[in-house]
Amino acid sequence: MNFLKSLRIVLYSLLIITILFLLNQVVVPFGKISYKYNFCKKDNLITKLLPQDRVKPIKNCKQKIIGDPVYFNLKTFRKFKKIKLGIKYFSKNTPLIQIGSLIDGNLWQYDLRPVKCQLIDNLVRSNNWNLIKDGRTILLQREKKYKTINNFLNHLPNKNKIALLNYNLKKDFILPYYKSSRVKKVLNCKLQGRHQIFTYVANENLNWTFEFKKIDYNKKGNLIINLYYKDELIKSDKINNYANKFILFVKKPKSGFYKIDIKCNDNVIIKKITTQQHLFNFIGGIRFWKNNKLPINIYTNSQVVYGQTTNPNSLQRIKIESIGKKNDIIDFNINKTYKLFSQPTTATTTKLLIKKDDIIIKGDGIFAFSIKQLSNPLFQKISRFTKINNLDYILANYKIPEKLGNEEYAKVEFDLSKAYRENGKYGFMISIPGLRVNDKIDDWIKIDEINVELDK
Amino acid sequence: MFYQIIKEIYRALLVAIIIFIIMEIIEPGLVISFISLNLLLIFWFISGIILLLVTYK
Repeated sequence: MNFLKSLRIVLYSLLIITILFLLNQVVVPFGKISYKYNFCKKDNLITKLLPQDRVKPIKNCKQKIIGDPVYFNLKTFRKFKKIKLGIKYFSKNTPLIQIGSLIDGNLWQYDLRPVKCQLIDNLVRSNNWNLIKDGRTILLQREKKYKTINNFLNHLPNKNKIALLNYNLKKDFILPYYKSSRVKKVLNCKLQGRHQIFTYVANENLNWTFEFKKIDYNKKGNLIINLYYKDELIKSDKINNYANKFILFVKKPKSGFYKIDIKCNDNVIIKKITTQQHLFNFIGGIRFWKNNKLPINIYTNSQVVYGQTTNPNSLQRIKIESIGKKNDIIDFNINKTYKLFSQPTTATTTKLLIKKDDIIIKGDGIFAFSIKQLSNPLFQKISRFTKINNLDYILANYKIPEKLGNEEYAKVEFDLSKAYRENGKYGFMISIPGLRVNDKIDDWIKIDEINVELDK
Repeated sequence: MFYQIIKEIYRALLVAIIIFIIMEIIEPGLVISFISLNLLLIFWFISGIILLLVTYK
């Protein structure tokens, strides 16, 4: 009888321990919980890397990523405030690796953090540049001029000599020779989907009128227009009636650059834009809809230009002309639908001659319809195309990955209170710019382990 | 004695399955993310058959 009693105690103790373990996943009484995915067996909390054609099958508990980007989800049984995501990896010919946390599920917007930046790693490891560290913030100087990061921030050098990585450097940009105009500018170009615009305002009203239409009125999706000043949201409007014109008006705001974010999906067309501001440009790219007046000339300061179309009739050769360099014209060939083509530019400012519309033009800089409007309040960001010769300072919020034998280990932190969560899952992306499947370049990243530390 | 042991296991598994199913209904994915309910059901089923056979004998 004693044996039976002991057996009963053991069995029910096991059950209680299991129940407590499961309840711990939901309640997280100690505020922290961690998971580990080592690719050896299927994990129900951290999903496998997708899409399948951008990864190789798991071998020796490791998985190779051969295309950019790949996605995975993390299932949690409650909301968390913070996440520390660590990855153990081995990479080949990948200058930049980033991890992103999904913050907008409708627009597939990710908040990216650098995991590896070869340019910074090489500069730090070679000791060629002066390094100042303050927590995760690092300042690299070609020649030592600043003693502290604060000193650098208070006496910023020439903007073109600075490159940033994961650092939000706020600075007032005042254009001393800017004169406001009473003449309204009309942009008759039809644009599709989300666009972000920088506009400069000084001693005048901020006055924009937008005309929208939907491609398919049965399709759902929000249209929100946000106005930012120095990355702070100052106005937000949701548009429900597409038939009416939308007026964005602020009476004589502070002088400086304002960002207008037209947040919508690809079902929305911006038919017409009328504005009192005569200095404005598009951030990150423009998506041209059909029936525009052709050809279209746009100017950009991007170091690399991307082109993509879903329309077979829009396949074309775009002429990229370097401003300031005579006869420096590149033919940017977009000869396949759905494929994202890229072309590095050879000058600081280039002109793109687009012969057919219904095309997406993207880049790492700003785009404008006139060269005079190419006024960029943004600091240069480090990309895989960044040339070190043009720089004197690098300011980054970045930790150099730890070396673990052949492999490297890096940890990034995200604020999950801003993250998008659906069906109990947080979305993440591993982005390796330039990594393409079937591009005949031997570049890849092999993931050994994903560690997750969640904070309540 | 063997009968008693199997009976205890059968009962414990039954209680576990009921609790886990309730937990799974309240918080979908909570149990199946860590424990295979299929395997648990198979063990319970086997213990039930053994229990029947022993009782019959």
